[in-house]
Amino acid sequence: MGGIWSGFLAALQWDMMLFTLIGVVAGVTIGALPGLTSTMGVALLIPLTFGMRPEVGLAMLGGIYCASTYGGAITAILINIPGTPSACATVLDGYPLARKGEATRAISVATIVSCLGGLFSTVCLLFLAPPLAQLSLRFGAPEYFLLAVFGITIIVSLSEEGLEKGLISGVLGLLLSVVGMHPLTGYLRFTFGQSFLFDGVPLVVALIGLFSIPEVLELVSSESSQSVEVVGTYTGRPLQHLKEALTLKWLILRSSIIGVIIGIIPGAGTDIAAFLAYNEARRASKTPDEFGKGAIEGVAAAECANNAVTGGSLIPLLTLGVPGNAVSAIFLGGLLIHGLRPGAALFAENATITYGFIFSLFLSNILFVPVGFIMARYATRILRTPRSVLAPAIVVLAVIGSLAIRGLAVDVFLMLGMGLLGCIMKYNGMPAAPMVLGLVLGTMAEGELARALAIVRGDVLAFLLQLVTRPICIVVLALCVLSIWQGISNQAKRKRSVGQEA
Amino acid sequence: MTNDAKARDRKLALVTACISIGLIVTSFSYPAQSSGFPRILSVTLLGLSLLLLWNQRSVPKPDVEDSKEPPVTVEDAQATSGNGQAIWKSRAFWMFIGTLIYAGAISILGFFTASFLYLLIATLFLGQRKPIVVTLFPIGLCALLYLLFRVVLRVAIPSGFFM
Repeated sequence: MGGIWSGFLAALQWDMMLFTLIGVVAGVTIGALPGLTSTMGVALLIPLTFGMRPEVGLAMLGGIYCASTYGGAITAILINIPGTPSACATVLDGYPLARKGEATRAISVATIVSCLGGLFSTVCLLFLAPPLAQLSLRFGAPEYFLLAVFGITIIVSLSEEGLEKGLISGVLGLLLSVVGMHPLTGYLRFTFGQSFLFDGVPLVVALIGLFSIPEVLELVSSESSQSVEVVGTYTGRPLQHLKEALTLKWLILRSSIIGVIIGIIPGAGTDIAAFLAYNEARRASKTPDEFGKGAIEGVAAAECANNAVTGGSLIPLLTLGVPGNAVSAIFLGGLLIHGLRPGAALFAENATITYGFIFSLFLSNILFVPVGFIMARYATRILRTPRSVLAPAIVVLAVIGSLAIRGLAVDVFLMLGMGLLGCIMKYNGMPAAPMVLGLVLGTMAEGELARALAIVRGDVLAFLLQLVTRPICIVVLALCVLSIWQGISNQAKRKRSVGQEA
Repeated sequence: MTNDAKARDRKLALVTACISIGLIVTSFSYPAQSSGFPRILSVTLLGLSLLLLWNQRSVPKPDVEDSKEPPVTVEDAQATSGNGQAIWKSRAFWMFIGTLIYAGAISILGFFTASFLYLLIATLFLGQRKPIVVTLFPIGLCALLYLLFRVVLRVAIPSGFFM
C-alpha cells in the first residue's frame, strides 16, 4: 500500500502534471492529424524523456498514448478520415452525424466515453498488474524464454496482410536484435567491425526510423491538396451532452470490458476492440438499423473500447515484459532506457515510479477531456497544417531523437536506414509491427535461452524436458499453441471472406 | 492479387532468401555457443522466403478484374498508372536524398545550423511560398528544440561552426 500511496503523491507533483498535460496536448494533435499514429508519436518523443525523472518521462508518454488514441475521433467525425487506426469504427457513425449537423454532439459524447473507457482500463491496470507481477517471481529462465516465444507467436495474429510476410518481418526483427554482443559470452556478431553496433541496434533509434520516415515520405508523395474538407464544425457546449453520454452506461461498461480484454490479449489492437464493441452495441441496440447512418451508440462504443485498450495493453507489458502491440513495445523501450525492467521488481523496488505512472494515466484520461474540447474548436486550423511544414518538422524531430540517445551522428544514418527498410516493407505490403516485436523480444529470447541452457550445462534434451515438465512452462506452451492456432484460423477466415467478396 | 504484386513478392522473397543465406554463412564464422540462435533464425528466414516464393509461383494471365483493381498505395499508383513516373522523379525520393545530405551536414555544420537550412530548403521544395511561414517556421522550430534539448534537458547535441 505504501508504494501505491507514494505513487499517488508522485503523480500529484507539478512536473508530473505539467508533462502529462504536454503529452496530452501532443497526443491529441498527433491523433487528430491523419497520417500520424500513436506509435510514431510515442517513438518520436521518447528521447525527450531522457533528461526527466523516469516517472515524469513515462507520464508524458502515457499522455501521448491515451490522448492520441482518442484524438483520432476528431478527424473521423469531422472529415471522414480516422486520424489513427483506432478510430476506423468511429467513422461509420461519426461522419454521418457530422453531415447531419451534429458534429458537436458526436465529438462531445466521443470525448466523454473515451475518458470513461480509459479510466476503467487504468483501474484494471492498477488492480490486476500487481498480482500478475507477483506471479512472475516464480518464473525462471525457461519460463521467460517461453514467454518471449509466446510474444513472438503474436506475430502470427499481427500478420493481417499475409502470414509469410508477417513472419518474415518478425524474423528480420529478431535477427536485428542479435546484432552485437552475445548476452552470455560477449562475442560480437554481425557488427562488421563497427563499434557503434557493439551494443546492438539501439531500439529507440530503430523504432523512430521505422515509424516516422515511411510516414513522412508518404505525406510528401501524396498528390492530394494540402488542406482537407471539413464537414462539421465543433461549436462547443460539451456539457449539454454529458447527460446523454451517461445514459449509455451499460454500453460504456460493456465496451470498456471488451477494450480491456482485447488490450490484455497480445496481438489484438485498438482497432479490433473498437470494431468488436461496435458490433456488440449494434447487436444489443433496439434500433440496429440506425447504425452506419449516424447512431450515437456506434460512436460511443467504438471510442470507449479503443481507449479502454490503453490500460489493458500495459498489463502484460509491466508485469511480464511482453508487449501486446507496437505502442507498448515502444513503451518497453522507454522503460529500459530508464533502467527499469518489467516484472515484480518494478512494483516492489520501483513502486513510486510504477504507481506514479499508473496514476498519471488517470490524469491523462481526465485531461484529454478539456484539451480535446478546446482543440476540437481549432480542429479546422490544425487539420490545415500544410504538409510542407509537417513533413520537414517530423524529419528534424526524428533526427534530434536519434542524436539524443547516444550523441552519435552515425545513429542518424542508422535511423534513416531503418526508415528506408520501413519504406521497402510498406511498399511490399509487409507489416512493421511484427518487426518491432521481434526486435524487442529477440534480446529476451536469446538471453533467457542462453541462461536456461547454461543451467543444464548445454544439454538440449534436459532443456526441452524442462519446457514440458515445469507447470508454468506447460501453461505458456499451451498459450503459444493457442496463439498460433488462433492466428492461423483468423488468417483462414480472412482469406475465406475475401474469396466470398470476390 | 495483381500480377504486379506477385512479381514484387517474388522479388522480396529472393532478396530475403539471399540475406538469409549470407547470414547463415556469416554465422559459421562465430563460435557455436554464440551463433546457435542467429543460425536458427537465418534458417527460418530462408524457409519463410522459399515459402513466399512457392506461394507466388503461378503467374496468371492478366485479366479484366486484375487490371480494374484499384492501386493500394501511392507507389502502386505510380507503378500502375500510365504516367510510369520513375522513382527518381518522385518528391519522396528527393526528400530522402535531401535528408541524407542533411544527416551528413550535421557533423560539419552542427545540428541547429544544418536543421535550419534543411527546414528552409525542404519547406520551399514542398511548395510552401508564404514568406512568413518559410522564414519563421525554421527559426521557430530550431529555437524551440534548442531551448528544449540544450537548455532544459541538457542533452549533448553535435555542434558545428556556429552553434
